[in-house]
Amino acid sequence: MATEYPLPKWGVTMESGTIAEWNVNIGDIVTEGQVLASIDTDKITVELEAPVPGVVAALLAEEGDDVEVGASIITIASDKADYDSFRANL
Amino acid sequence: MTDSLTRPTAQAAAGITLDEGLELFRLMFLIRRFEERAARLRAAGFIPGFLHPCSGQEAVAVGVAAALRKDDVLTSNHRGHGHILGRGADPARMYAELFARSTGYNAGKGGSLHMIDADLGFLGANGIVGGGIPLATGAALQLKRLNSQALAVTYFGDGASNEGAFHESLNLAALWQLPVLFVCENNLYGEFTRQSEHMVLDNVADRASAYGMPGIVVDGNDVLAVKKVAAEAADRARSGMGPTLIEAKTYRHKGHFEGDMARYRPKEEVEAWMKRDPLILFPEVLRDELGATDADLDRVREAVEAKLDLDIEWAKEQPHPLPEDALEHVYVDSYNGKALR
Amino acid sequence: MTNFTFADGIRQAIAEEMERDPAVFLIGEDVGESGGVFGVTKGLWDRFGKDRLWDSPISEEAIVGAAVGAALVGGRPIAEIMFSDFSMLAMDMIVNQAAKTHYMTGGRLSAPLVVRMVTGTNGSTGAQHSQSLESWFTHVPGLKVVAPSTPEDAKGLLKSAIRDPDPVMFFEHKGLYVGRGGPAGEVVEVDPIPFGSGRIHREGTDVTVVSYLKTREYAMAAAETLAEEGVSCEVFDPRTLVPFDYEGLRASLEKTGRLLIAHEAPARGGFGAEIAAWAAENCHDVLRSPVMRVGGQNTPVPYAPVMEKFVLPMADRIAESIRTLVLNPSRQLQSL
Repeated sequence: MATEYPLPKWGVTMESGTIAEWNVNIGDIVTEGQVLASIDTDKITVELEAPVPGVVAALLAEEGDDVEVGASIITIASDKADYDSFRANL
Repeated sequence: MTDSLTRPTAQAAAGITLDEGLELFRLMFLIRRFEERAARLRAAGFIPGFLHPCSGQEAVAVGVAAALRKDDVLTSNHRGHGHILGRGADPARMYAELFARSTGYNAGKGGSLHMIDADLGFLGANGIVGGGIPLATGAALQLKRLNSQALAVTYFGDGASNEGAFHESLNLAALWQLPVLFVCENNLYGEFTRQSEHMVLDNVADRASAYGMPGIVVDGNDVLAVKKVAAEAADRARSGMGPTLIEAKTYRHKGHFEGDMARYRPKEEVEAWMKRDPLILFPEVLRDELGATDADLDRVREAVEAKLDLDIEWAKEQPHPLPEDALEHVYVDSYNGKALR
Repeated sequence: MTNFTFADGIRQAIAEEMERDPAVFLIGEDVGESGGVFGVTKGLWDRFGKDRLWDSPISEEAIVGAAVGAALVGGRPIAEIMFSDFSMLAMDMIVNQAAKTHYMTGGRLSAPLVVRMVTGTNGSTGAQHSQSLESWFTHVPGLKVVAPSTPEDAKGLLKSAIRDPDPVMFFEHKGLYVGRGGPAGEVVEVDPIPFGSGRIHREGTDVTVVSYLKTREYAMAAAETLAEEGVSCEVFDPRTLVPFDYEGLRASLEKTGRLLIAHEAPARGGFGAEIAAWAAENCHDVLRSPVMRVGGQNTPVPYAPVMEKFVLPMADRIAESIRTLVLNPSRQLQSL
C-alpha cells in the first residue's frame, strides 16, 4: 500500500520546514534511512530519511515550499507492483 | 456574510426537474473530482506544469453554462478547468493535454493555461490576468455583426477587475451594446492579496454603473441563483440590450495554485466558506425540494468516478509529441517555412 | 500614376476587400465618420457605414483585443493604431494573445487580423509620435510584419494582409502619406502581393542597399549621388520583414558582394541587425566587405528640425556610408 509520510517534528519549537532540495525522483527505489530531501528549519538544515524501504510514488511538496510539521510530503510505495498499482489508480 | 448568501429557497428550485438538478450536480461533482485527481496526478509526476484549482467555485461555471446555448462562445482565465467542464468538455482530452500528449485539446502546446474546445465555442483559458476579457468583447462584436442571437461569456476574478483591459472592455461593450456577459468570480483574493487590499469597493459589480451597464451580485455558491441571473443577462444580451456584469461571490478551497498553502487566509474564514461548499448546499436543495434520494446522488457520484477512471487511463496511454512538433503551428501559412526563418 | 497616392492605395485596398468579403471591417479611432486623422479612410463611411467602420474610444488594448476576439469567431478585422507609438498600450493583445493563439491551441484557433500602424516621423512630430518599432514585432514568432514603400505595394500588400490567415502588423510611414489623397484618386488595379517577395528599385553591381518604408526614398537619392561618383548601387526593398525575401537578397549579394542596410529605426537592435547577422552567417562566401548598417541615432526622435535631421538616416548619411563601404572598407566600421 503506497503510504504518505509527514514532515517530522525535529525540535520542540519546530512548526514548519522548507524543502530546500529533493534528493530523489518519482520512481526511485529507496532503502530505509536513505536521504530523501534537505529540509531547512528555523535552526538548522536537516536531512529527511526514508522511514521505510520502497519506491518513491509521489512528491507532495516542491522545493521552496514551506510545509507544516505533520503535513504529508512524500508517498512511498512498498514495492514496484505497489508503485504501478498506485499510478494506475490515480 | 451578507443576507444574500442564504440557503436557496424553494422558489429558486422552481422551474427545474429532478433530472436537470442531478445534471447540475453531476457537472459540479465532475469538476471537483477532476481537480482533486489532477492534483494527485501532478504529485505523481504526470503533469509537468502548474495547476490553478477551482475547487469551491463549481457553482459559477455550471450555473452560467446552464443558461447558454450551443452557439455561444466563452473565454476564461487561469482557473479555467471548471469553466470548460461546465460547458461540456471531455475530461479525457483535458487530462491528455495536462499530460502534454499530442492528442490533448491543444496538441500538448498549451497545457492548463490555454485549454480550449473550439467545437464547444470555448475559446481558451488565458495565462494573462484579464486577457480573455477584450477577446470576448470582440467575439461579441462579431456575433452582433452577424445578427446572430449568440453571445460571449468571459470569466475572470476580482483581481482582474483592476486590469485596464477590464475597464476598456466594459466601456466598449456598453457603448456598442455588445452581447457579452462579464462574469466575475469574486473569491475574495487576487492571488495572495485580499480584496480589501486591492480595491476600495466592496462589490466589483458596483463598477458596472460607471460604464453604463447593469451590475448584479449573486451568491456564487448557489448554482440555481447563478443560473437565474445568467439567464436573465443572456436574455438581455440576445434581445439587443447589451452587456451585463455579474459578480458571483464565492471562495476557492485551495490556494492560488496547487501547492500554495494559502496561509494568508484566516482559518475562521476558510472554515465558514467550507460549510457553504456548493457540493454540500446543492444536494440539500435536491433532497429537500426535488425529492432526490441518497441513492440518486450516489449513482451520480459513482458514474462520475468510473468515467474519470477510464478518462485518466486513456490519457495516460496517449502519445507524447515529437520534439520537432514544436516547429508546427507558429503560423497558419508560413509561406513554406519562410516566415519561420 | 500621378493621382494615386500611398493613402489612396491603403483606402482602395480596404474598400475592395470590404466589397469582396463581408467579414472585413475596420476598428479604430476616428476612422469612420471623420475619415481618419490622415484622411486615409475618407469616403469609406459613405460607402460602407457603421457596420464596417467602428469608431472606437481611445482604448488601444480594447481595440486590438476586440479585433483578436472577432477574428477568433470568423471576423476579418483591421485594427488601426493611430500612431505605432500607441501600440505599447495594446502589446498584450498583440504579443500574448494574437501572436500565440494558433500555436498555443495546437492549431485549432487562429487570429487573422491586421493591425495597421502609422509609423516614423513626418517632421517634428516628437518623440512619442515618431518611433519606428517594426523590429520589436519581428521578434515575436507568430506575427507577420509588412512595410511597404510605394502606393502600389501598399495596396497589394494590404490586400494580402487582409486575406492572410495570420496576425499581420502593417506599417504605414506617415511621411509617405504625401498629398492627403482622396476618393478622387485614380483607382489603380493592383493584385494582392505575396509576402516574402522583395522589389529591386534600382539595379547595380557594387553594393546592395536594403531599405524600406520612407528610408527607401533616401536610399534611392543616395544611389543617384553615388552613381555620379562611379559607384553602382542596387536598392533592394524587402517590402515584408517577416517573411523576408532572403533568396532575393542572396541573389543580389551574389551580384554585388556588399551589403548596407538603411532604416529609420535606431540602429541598435533594429531589423538591420537581423539582416546583417543573417548575411554574415549565410552569404560570407559572396561578400567582399563587412556588412554595414545605417540607422537612426540611438536617441528618441527630437522635436527641433535640425536635431531631427541629424538623428534620421537621410540621403547624405546613407551616401557617406556607401562611400565608406565601397571605397574604404578597411576603416573601423560602425553602424553610423
